[in-house]
Amino acid sequence: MKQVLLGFAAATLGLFSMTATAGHHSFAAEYDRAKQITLTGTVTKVEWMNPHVYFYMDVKDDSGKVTNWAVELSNPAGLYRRGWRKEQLKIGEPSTVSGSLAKNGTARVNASTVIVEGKRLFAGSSGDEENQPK
Amino acid sequence: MKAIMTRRLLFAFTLILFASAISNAQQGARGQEPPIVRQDPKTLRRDAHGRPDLTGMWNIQYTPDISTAVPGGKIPFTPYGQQRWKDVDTAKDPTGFCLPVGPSRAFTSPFPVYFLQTPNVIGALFEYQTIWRMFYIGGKHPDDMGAYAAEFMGHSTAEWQGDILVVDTIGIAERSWLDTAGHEHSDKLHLTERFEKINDDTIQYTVTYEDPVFFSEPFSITRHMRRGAAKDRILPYTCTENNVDTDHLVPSKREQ
Repeated sequence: MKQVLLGFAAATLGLFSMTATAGHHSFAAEYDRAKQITLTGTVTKVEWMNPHVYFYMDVKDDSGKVTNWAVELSNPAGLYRRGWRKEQLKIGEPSTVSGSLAKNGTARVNASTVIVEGKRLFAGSSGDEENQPK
Repeated sequence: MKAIMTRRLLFAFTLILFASAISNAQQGARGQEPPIVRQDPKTLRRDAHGRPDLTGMWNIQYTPDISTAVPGGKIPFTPYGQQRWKDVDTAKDPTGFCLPVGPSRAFTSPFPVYFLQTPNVIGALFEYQTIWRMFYIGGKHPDDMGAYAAEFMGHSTAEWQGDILVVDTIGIAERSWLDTAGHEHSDKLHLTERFEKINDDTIQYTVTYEDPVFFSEPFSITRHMRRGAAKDRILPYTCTENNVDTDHLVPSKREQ
């Protein structure tokens, strides 16, 4: 998979976020912090809803096969307070996401970073380093 | 030999870099909060009856694992409590299924609370799960707690001890958890919570957990709430709106 980058940088992200957990559900019950992934694709759908914001994007692998990935973020209020506006996620626009893979093997990722229009946005999810408990 | 030494030095250097990065990240996160300075109590904003006025929007200190806030870092488990902690399945977190968060976990979750203070009752309106607690000043616990149905948030009476609001809570359904990490409790859980305004923008919150089934002795944690931004408000949280996560949870041990 061309867009998949595993390695030192991803491991560092994992260390930054290893004490963070989700407010709504247990992170460990859904995602594997040891399995970091970076994906670049095109936004296909946005679900700006509670308890977690999701967006979906088509990602093409080396063979040309397209997979639609679900990307989990924080809740809408948490993102709103951090300056996110739902209009920033535009269908048809490119996005790059780094985060933790789902444990059940489905095409789902809990985002630690989201980049749209070249700007890093706070993911607000369990894996985001800015979401450390204080 | 020289190559081995070089590799060891490189390894040590990498470890130092990692430790430094983590330390800086943690300091950065903490550094966003100003230090807590106790205000002259005479100058605290008070209600019409002279009590410290808690009314307003407060940001809660997120504490996903209460053991990290226990002095000494260890919860005094009974053997049964220890086994339950060892065996807890984090896929069964009740909040993952949109069940009420429980009375003390509501004050350690990453969502704000709005206090409404009157002489006879203080309401705590939580953004998380759009749920509330009522602290009945001088009230009594009902004799039939649990007779109607499971009460996930329990029943709370309260009294002012000087400038400190002391809240007593029982009747908490054993299905709620004490934190996201998965600390459980029995229906014998008894909470004593103390709310003290350190200054007009900070409430010191101390909760004491008593549960003879899970804990060999009472233990406490202390957290701080910061006044929310003037333009902020309690925002909607409709847990069942799109709770797709439940289809993807797998039985899991807690993160170490």
